[in-house]
Amino acid sequence: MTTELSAENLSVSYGDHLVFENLSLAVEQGGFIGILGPNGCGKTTFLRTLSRVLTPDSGTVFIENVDIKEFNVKALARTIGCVSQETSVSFNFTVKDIVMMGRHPHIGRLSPLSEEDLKIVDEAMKTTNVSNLADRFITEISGGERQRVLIARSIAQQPKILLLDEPTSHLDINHQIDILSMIQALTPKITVIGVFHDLNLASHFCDKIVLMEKGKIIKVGTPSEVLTTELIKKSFSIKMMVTTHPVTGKPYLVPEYGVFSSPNSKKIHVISGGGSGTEIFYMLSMYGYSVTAGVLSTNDSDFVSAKTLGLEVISEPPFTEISEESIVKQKQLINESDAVIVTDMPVGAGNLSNIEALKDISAEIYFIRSFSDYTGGKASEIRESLIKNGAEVADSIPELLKKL
Amino acid sequence: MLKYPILLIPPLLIFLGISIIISAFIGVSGFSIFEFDTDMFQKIIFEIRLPRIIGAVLVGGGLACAGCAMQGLFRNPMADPYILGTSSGGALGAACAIVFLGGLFLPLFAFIGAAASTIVVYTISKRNGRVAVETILLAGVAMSLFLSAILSFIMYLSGDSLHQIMFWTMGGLWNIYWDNVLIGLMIILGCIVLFIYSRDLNILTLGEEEAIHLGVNTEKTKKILLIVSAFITGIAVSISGCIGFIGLIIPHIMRIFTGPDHRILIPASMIAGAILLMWADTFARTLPVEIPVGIITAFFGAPFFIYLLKRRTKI
Repeated sequence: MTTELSAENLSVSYGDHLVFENLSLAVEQGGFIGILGPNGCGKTTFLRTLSRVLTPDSGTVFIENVDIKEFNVKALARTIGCVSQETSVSFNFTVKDIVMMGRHPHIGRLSPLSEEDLKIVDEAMKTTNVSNLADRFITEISGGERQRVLIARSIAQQPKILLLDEPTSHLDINHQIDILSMIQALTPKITVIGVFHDLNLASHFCDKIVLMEKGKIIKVGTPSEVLTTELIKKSFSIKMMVTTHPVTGKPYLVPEYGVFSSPNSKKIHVISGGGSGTEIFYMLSMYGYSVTAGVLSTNDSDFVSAKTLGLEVISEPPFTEISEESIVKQKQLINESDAVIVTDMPVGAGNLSNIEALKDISAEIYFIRSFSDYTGGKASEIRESLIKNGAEVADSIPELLKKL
Repeated sequence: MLKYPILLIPPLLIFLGISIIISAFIGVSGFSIFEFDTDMFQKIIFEIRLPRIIGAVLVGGGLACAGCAMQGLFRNPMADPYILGTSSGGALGAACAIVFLGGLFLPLFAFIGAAASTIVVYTISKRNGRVAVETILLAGVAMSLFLSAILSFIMYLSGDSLHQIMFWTMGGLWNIYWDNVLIGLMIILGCIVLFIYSRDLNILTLGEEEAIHLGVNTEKTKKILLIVSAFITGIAVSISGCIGFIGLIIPHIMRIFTGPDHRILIPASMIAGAILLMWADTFARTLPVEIPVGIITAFFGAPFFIYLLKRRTKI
């Protein structure tokens, strides 16, 4: 792979404020590179330096080993195209007028657009699916359409490199995915370098990610190399759970939000399964209860969420029956608890012992709605008798929290 | 907006030509068109009316053209050719000539005043070799106010010349002879330069950063647009004083028909500005008491513009 663009020891400051110092990056031809980092880390400034809108205090940007200072304005525009975050157009040019402006760097001052130019313009509008808008005013189309028009203009420019500054951050999710797929399809013919807000969109679309923090590049690599809990914590100062997207297999990040509990001495044991306990774990933790959970299978999402919240969990390996040992441990936890909560989980032969463990205990018992019984009525029978002896049923989590 | 705005240009040109001919035969001299072969009438037409008519055409066209460039460059509908302090600078120069030299070299002084104030505004706004258009806008306003203060002071002290200064600042074309027209021809050169830069101007209306991305040398383009517009305006002011309205409103009126593409907007505005000022001046000079043409352009032009604004959606 050849290096298309490289930045060497760039330093930029606005007045006294140093934005970044000695920043270097090499970008290979044909990639889709995403620059990520919190607001104010210098990623947009970096992009503006690459496009020569800003002149760095020191350092050099090279395109195919040529210093960009050597390019004249039009030659640079034939090499780099740029789509900004939000472009306000106050004059009512038609969509076609705007896309035709992309040909400006290719034609002389007084020469009109040639057949060839018009063909390129039409092609660009087809690529971004705006041909049907050709005669509409740019001032009268939606934000998503406008971004597509501006991308069409950049395509008509026929650049080797396309720089994007959060091109979809004002758009709805459907338009974001639409536009980013379209941009992805431009590679590897065009090298794309973009600043992104949304970590998951970057993870999905970019083949390389540059992670920044306060004017420094802290990591460059594939999404799975860069989007790790540690690096994200370092850059964004927030704990994110990194999972794998169930369909694409790419890293998928979810904020943990964190628990800001008020102290509460009550101990509660939660019996759940199949993901039915996650919200309850979180809510109870938020309210400050000391929560224990189990018995759970280790491949149950409830197990993952309880572990992430730092709860004590009794667990079994996947697809094994609940062992004697676990039952004893569970009994012990239940005896120490003030209350036991049973979620609306599915109950089958594998976890029936979780329900049986509720017989003859002193702690208060709360059911959330009713569980799905796959034991031929055995579990329901136990539930009925517990309710007769004073166990309560809550229809929702807020109702449960009120009863506790 | 018209579907093929370019088709607007030929009828406008034809109308301008016809207007010039008709206007030449209108006046307070008392001659009718059938007395064309008398020496006296020919003298009136060729030595008094025609220079004045051509002067109006040049000044009107130049102001409208510079107005287009300024509105596009500043991306501001309130921008006009006088935004750089040209009018108040010119007025101050003219007032000085009237008060201190008894009106001698008045056009020269007006041009120097206009040019000087433009240069000062431009220099103030320049920083690290770059000109921020927002700063120009504000510096221009500040400069205008400052120069107006000096002008008011001179007018306050001017005694008998007050009426003359007042008359000049309202703008009029009564002092135009062929030598003024020759100088005025330079306005056409300026307009041609602006026209050559019309596509760059189109792109500049999207914003400077966008323009850089699209291969426009923004600093150079801004400099040329500003200097050439100021040059056109300076000459117009030196010939005819500060005629308001045309540079501000004509571009707006024409934009309603042609859309924002300066390649058509600039020539269309030029011709329309020429027609408007020429007819306004014809009207001004046929009234029993001649009044400054600036009053007429604003008095009839402004309501017409409001009317167009109201029905714009239907065009």
